[in-house]
Amino acid sequence: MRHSLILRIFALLFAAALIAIWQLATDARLFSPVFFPSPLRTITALIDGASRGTLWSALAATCLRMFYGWVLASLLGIVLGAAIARSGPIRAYLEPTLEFLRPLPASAVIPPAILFFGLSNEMTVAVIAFGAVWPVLLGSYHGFTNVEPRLEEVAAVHGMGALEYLWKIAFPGALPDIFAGIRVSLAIALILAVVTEMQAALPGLGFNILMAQRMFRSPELYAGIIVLGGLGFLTNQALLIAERRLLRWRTLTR
Amino acid sequence: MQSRSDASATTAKPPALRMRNLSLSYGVGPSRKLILDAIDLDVAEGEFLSIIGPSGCGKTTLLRLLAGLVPPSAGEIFFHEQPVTGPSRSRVIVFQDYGRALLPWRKVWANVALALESRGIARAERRDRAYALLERMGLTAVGDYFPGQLSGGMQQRVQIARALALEPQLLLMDEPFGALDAMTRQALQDEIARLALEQQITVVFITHDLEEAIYLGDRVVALAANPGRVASSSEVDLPRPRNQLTTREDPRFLAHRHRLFGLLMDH
Amino acid sequence: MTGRWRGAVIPLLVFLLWELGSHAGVLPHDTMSRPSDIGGAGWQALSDGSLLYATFQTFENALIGLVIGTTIGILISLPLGLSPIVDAIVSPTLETLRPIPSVALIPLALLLFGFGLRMEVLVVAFACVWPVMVVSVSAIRSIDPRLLEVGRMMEMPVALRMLRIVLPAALARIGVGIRVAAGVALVVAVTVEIVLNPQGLGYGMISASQALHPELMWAELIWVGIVGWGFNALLVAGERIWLGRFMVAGVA
Repeated sequence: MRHSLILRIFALLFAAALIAIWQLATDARLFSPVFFPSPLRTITALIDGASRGTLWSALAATCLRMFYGWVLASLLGIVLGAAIARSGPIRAYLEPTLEFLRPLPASAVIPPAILFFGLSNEMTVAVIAFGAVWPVLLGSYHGFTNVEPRLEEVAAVHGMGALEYLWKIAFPGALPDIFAGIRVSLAIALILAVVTEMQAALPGLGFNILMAQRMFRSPELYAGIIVLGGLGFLTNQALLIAERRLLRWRTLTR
Repeated sequence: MQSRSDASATTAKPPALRMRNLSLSYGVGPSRKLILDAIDLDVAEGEFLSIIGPSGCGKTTLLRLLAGLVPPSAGEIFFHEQPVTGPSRSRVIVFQDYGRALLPWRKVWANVALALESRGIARAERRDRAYALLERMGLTAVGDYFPGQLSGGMQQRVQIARALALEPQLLLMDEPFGALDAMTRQALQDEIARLALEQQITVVFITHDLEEAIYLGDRVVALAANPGRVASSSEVDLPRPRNQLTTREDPRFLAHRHRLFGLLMDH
Repeated sequence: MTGRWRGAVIPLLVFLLWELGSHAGVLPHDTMSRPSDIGGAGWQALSDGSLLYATFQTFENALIGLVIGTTIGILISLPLGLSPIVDAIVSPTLETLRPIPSVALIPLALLLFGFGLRMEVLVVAFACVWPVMVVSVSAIRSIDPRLLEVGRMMEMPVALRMLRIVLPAALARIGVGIRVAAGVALVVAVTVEIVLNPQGLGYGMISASQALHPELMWAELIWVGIVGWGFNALLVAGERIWLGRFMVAGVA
């Protein structure tokens, strides 16, 4: 325990040292402050944005975008994955099309999405949903194909109908795989939220950092990147906690 | 001291379970493999029937046929005069691999409640009724655990409790204690014998353990392999309740053991 | 094999309805160009070489970024994989950088390098570091310690030990990490071009749609789909051959 505590302190010191070197280097004018603003100026920009409220509104806009797209992708992915896993005909008709669409870079659907939805929030949600659906779909497909065969027999003995079987046996069994997909999808959703904001000039963190760059306000640019990293980190942690609670049965073993 | 097969023999009731010319084969043409060949067997109501046989004699397959999980290639099964066409809550199977037959994401009581749900019992009642069954199996203390947290013996108890929650007329047990250690196995043998006697359930019990078959059964049917067929059927005239020490030392027990052992060796 | 035709039903149906719908005037012509027009535009772009040149630019950016990202990822993974202490000290810092979405670096890259190859490569490289690093750290960690002791016994210098023992032992799985990163590289490259870098396939699509040539945009989208699919198939096949080699040698 003591050993790990010491290591943790050193880990903090390491991070602090990096920041200190960055600060000293900018103070000594080793690099141009236009490109590498000092940590102090970056933090000041961050606090400034937070206190003026501009940061919060942008954060909220990006979060909402990401959330809608991600929820849509998750629902779509779970249902499609289950359908393809459980039904031979659906698999035969859909799989080749999906296999073709899957490697398509998600951002490539931005131009057609703009044609259909304009530079709107609907467009961003559609693009995010398209890009983030694949990991959930794969996870769901994998989970729903690998249901313990013994449990199918248990369901039969209990006289379960198809829907009851899906809800009580297949879905909980597939949930660990679905969660693995959902977490990857969340990271993709954030990336695409930023991309669509930049492309469509819609309010949000992504657009903000692009504006900061255009006006050569590099401390704001760095502050925005830090906030985006923090957002990615926190949403992932939140999902991990949810996963740990929902899948408690996997960690609680003899 | 009543032997339950005697009781059913005296009343002229029709058998609970009737197998007629029951056969199962896999594949077609030259690769066709016969697993079970023309099984004719009756099980009386309330009877505890043990089935033993060498591995590969199709005893598990026979049980799955009785559960309605697989259809026979030929022949028929009648359960209380009704032909068996598929699985039913009145004919419940207890699997050997308890670890895979329980829902790992449901707590112990909720696993039992699964059976209550399927019987359409109101949500408000389920928890209490599940706990009542857990109490009977000595599981009250672990009702809020997940199956993965329990020992093998405990998990098998949960599966039995879930089977009983269906209030079945026929209990099909597929080497249920095969994966357990000797002490646990003996405790569970006594419990299942007591439950079967109390509830007057008909039991078909598959095992590869000769002594277990005799100890539990009112009758022991030995199957021969390749293809699976009935080799012998013998009544076990040992009084109930049976006792792990005295019953197993009873000369009649030993005589059964000798005869069946010789029989199994021949095939 | 008998049911393979069923996979073609949906795409064919979509294109057929699309074509008929636009002839009947049901579909808006300014967004849903006719498949026949799309085919024509695609053929034109292919034959005048513009599409192939854009493809070349995108792949050039993606592959340079991949090489740089992979190199950095492996270099970082060596101390992290070999020393639990270094890992405990450095990992927390890296783990706070990892969730930064690669595209957030686009404005920064633009600030540093302006438009062109270098800014795109920077973003692609950042995105490629992580998959390589994660896989390669765990590959190095699972090297048999006995193997490392051999190197020390022979008194090999550190660099040689890395080159002769550590990397070959972890190579099979590092290859898998690189395959993942390669897929990421193409996606990120196209994304950077869509957002603002005026070159390559992504820019082609954006400029076609902004120039009100939806048929060219659709043609390029389908082309990106084919290229992405082909590249992915190539990577999967490559991975199979790569791992197959190690299976035979018995080190994977």
